[in-house]
Amino acid sequence: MSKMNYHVCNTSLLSGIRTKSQKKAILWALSFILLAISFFSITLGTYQISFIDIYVTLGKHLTPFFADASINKLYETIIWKLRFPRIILAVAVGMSLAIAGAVYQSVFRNPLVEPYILGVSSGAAFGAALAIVFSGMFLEVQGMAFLFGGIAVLASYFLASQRGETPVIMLVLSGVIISSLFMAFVSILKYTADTNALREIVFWMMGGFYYATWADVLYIIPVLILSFGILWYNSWKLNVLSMGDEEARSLGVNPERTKIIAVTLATLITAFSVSLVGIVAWIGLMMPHAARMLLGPDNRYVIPTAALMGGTYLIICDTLARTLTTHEIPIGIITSILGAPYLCYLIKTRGKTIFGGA
Amino acid sequence: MLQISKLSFSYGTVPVLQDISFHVEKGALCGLFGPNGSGKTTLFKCALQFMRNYSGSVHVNGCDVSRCKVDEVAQMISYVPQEHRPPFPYLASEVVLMGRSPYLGGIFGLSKEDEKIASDAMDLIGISELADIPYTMLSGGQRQMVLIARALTQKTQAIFLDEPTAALDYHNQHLVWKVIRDIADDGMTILACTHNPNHVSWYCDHAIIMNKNGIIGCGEPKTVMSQDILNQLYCGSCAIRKLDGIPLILPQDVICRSEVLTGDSM
Repeated sequence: MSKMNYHVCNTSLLSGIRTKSQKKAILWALSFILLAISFFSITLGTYQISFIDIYVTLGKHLTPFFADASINKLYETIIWKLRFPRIILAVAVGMSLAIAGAVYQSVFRNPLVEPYILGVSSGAAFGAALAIVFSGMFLEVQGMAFLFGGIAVLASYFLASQRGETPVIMLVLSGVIISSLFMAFVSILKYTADTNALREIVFWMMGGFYYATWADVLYIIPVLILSFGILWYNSWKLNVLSMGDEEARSLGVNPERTKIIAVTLATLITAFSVSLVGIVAWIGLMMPHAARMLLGPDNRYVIPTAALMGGTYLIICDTLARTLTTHEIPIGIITSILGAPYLCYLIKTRGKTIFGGA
Repeated sequence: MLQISKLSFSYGTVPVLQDISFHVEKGALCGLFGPNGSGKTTLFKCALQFMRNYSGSVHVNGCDVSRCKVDEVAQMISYVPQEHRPPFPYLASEVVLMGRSPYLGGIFGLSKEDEKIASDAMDLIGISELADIPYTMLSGGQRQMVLIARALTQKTQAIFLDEPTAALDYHNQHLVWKVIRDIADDGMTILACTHNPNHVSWYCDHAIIMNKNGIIGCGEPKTVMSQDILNQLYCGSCAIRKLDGIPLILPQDVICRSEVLTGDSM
C-alpha cells in the first residue's frame, strides 16, 4: 500500500509526546504543579500570616510532629478551618467537573458538551432557590440542590429513553427541555422572592467557596475517589463508545450499560459539586479540551489529566476570587472571564483538529 | 461456517426480511449484492446482533450467535462500518487497538501483546506508516484501511464489511478490494455488501443477490450474475459484455451511445 499518500499533522500541542513513559511523566508533573499551587495558595489571603506559622499549623494537623507547637488560635482557625478545607474543596470540585466533562463528551460523542447538559445545574438552582425562599421551613440549601439536580437528570434520561435505548440526540433534546423548564421555575421564585432572598439566589447561581467547611470536603471526597476509580477503569470503553453505539457493540462493548454507568457517575460528582458550591461554569467544557491538546484524545489519559488540570485551574480561580478585591468575587465570573478567551483561541487556531475537523 | 437460516425481521409492521437463508464457506469472500432498500443493512444488523428481535438463527462455526453476550459475538464476527469521522482525533494506531476491546481483561486492560497484535495487523495490510497520524486527518481510503486492520485485530472467524468502497475514489476502491481479496485468500470468511455489480463479479467467490422480495440468486458470480438477474434488479438498464474474458456490467444507454457513435464514424 505504499502508493497511498499521507501527510503528517500534529494534533497535540506538544506533539512530541507519544510514548507511554512521556505521558506518565506529564501526569506526574501535573500532580506536582497541583500540590505546589495548593501549598502556595494557602499562604495568600486578606489576613497576612507568616509562612512559618502556616506550615507549622499544617504540620501540627497533618503530621505527628509539631504536636505541642503553640500557635495563635486565630491563625490556626484561619488556616485549618477556613483556607485548608476551601482549597481541598476547590481541588475536588475542579476535578469532579473536569472528569464529568470528559466523560459526558465521550458518551455524547460531542466535544462541545458540558456536564450541565442534562439539566443538573438548573435543577440544583431550583432546589437551592426553593430552600432560600422558603427558609422558614428549615430546608437545607445543599440538600435541596442535590435532590433537584438529581430529579432533573433522571427526568431528562427517562424522557429520552425509548425501548431500552437512549439515543444521544434525544438526550440532548430532553436535557434542553428540562433545563429550560427548571430555569423558568427559578425565575418564578426570583420574581416572588424578597430583596435579600433574590440576592442570595443570584449569588448562589454564580458559585463560590465562601462557606467551605470540612463537612463539605468529607461529603465529596469519597464520592469523587470512587467515581474517578470506576470511570478511569472504564476509560478505554469510553473511547470505543465515542465511535458510535453500533460500532461499540461490534467491538464487544455494551453501549447501554457503559452509558448508564458513565452518565450516572459523572452526574453524581457534578450534582455533589453544584450542590456544595453553586454553578461553576466552563471547567467541565474547557479542561477535557486542554487535556486532549496535551496528551491526545485517549480517555485513559484524558480523565486523569483533565482532573489534575481542573483542580489546578479552580484553585487559581478561587485564590483570585478571595484575594483580588476586599470583597469576594463569585467564582463563576472568574472561571468564565479566564475561560472564554482560551476557548476563542482554541476555535480560531485549532478548531479543525480539536473539534474533529468535519 | 457462517449459516443464516430463515431470518425474518420487520420494523413495526413493515416486513424487511422474510425467510432469508444462506451459507458462506470458510475462507470464501461472499458478496451481498442488491439495490437500496433490499434489506442488506438490516440483514447485517441482525446477524451482528445489533438488533436481537428477529426470528430465525445465525450460526458461526455451529455456534448460535443469538445466545452470546456482546463481547462473545465480537470475538466471533468483526464489523467494518462505512468509513466515517469520529468526533475525537484518535491516532490510527489507537483506532486499530480498539479491535482488542472484546478481550479486555484484568485491571490493566490492554496488554503489550494486544498492542503487538494491532501493529502486526497494520503491517499485514501495509499501513504501518499511518500509525501515528490522527484518524480524522486520513483520507477516506486510508480510514477504510484502518477499519479493516481493526477488524483483523479482533481475531474473529468472520468479517462483515458494510459497503467498504461506497465513498471512495476509483483508485482506492480497487486498493481496498484487493486487500479484502488477500485477507480472504489467507483463510478469512468475509461477507461484504456492495452496490457495484462489477465488484461482485471481479473479486468475490460467492454472490448472494437480494431485492425487496428476498434472495433472488445465489452461487458463483460467473453464473449467478446473469442478464436475467440484472434485468430483475435494474429493469433492463444494464447489460453484460466481456473484455479478455472478464465480465463487465455496463449501463445499456452507454452501449447504445457508443454503437451510434461508431456507426456515425463509419
